[in-house]
Amino acid sequence: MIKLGHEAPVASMDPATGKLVYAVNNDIQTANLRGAGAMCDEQGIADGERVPLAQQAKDLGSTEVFPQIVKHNNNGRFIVVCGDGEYIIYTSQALRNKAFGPALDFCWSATATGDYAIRESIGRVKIFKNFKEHKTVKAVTSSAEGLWGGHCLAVRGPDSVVFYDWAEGAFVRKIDVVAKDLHWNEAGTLCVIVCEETCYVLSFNAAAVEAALAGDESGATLGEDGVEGAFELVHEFSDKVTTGAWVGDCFLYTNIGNRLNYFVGGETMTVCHLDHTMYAGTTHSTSFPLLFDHPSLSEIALK
Amino acid sequence: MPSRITTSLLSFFSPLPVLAYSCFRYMLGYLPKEDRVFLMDNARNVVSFRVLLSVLQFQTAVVRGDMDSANALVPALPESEHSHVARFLESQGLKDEALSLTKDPDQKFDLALELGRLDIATELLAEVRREGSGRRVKG
Repeated sequence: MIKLGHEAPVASMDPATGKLVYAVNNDIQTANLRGAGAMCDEQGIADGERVPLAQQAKDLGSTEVFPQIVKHNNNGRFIVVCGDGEYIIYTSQALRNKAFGPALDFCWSATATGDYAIRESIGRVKIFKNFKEHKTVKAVTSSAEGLWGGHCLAVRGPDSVVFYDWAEGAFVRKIDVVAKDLHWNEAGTLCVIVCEETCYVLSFNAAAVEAALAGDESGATLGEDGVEGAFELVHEFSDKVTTGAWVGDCFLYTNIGNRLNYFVGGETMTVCHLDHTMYAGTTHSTSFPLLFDHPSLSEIALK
Repeated sequence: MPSRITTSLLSFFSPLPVLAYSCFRYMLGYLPKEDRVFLMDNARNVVSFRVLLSVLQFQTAVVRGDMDSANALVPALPESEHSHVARFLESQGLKDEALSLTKDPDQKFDLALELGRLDIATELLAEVRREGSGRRVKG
């Protein structure tokens, strides 16, 4: 088996419009995937083959930081570029600068346009409301090592995930798992925590959290463990998940074996295997083997 | 399937067996209007896979136990997906529903026997005999 690289591309797609933005070094490019399904059908492009684009990908401009994250906000009007210890928020259409600052990590709120959080250091996480600094999150874990956005703000600790509410940065719940990734569904009712070999599907009770936080002036109704019943474990399944996204109540994901699967209500279903089959050979004119990627016969030369 | 050109090129200069190569693909997301999930590889090629929204919605309704919604979604399922969906229904213990939907004769026969629907089972056998293909029906 030949493995070719393992760096994830820096890209984001706005699921509402199908607009794609991705980084090529310091340049930000854009393309539109709307109508790609019909194009594939017309041109007989099979699953797993390169998708033809209605228009050529175009340059949006370049950024001052080397992007490690590019991500659309909840309504797709803005993108953030994060890298080199800084973040810059741009309009997604014209790449006009909207906000910037220092950040090791950045994540968007799933519910409000200009709400986001940044991780400034291992001990400092800040919430921004409508692009303005709003709250510094009181750390519940010894160190903040990462952030995930969504319907709650999630901070990755060394051996836990800690959820906070976006409005006031109040502590919601601590879940003791070593997490790799985290995905919310669009409705904010389900959240999957991806660990090395296992995934935990949690249901989120937004109403209970809101009530508990609203009724609490003194901190009395909130225990040390946060809001009772905020999250409930509904499923757990074993797989080494690499990337994923929710579609309603189905969690669509790829795993380390390069399969495309989805998980729905306790069942894992395989859509297909992602790997191309490559055909190897050597030519007499070149001294190195060639791999042919069918059916386009694009060549990858291996010295 | 490899194209004819590929195959002939292969036979021309291919001393090596076929290799599978594996490459990291980042999931960009799912577009319901396209019925497709989009992924991007390291070379920034976008690839897509068809995953029908109607199938996902149907299965979601079934696991929620909302059979009314599930039944309402059946007409939206293309016939090509019926056997796949039927296998899912069987895994959920919904054998009657699976039997009514499946187009796979083997699964249909097994389910008919399990559910004691000997009328359907004998009809399937009769069909096979009529075809005279000698195809074995397992079970």
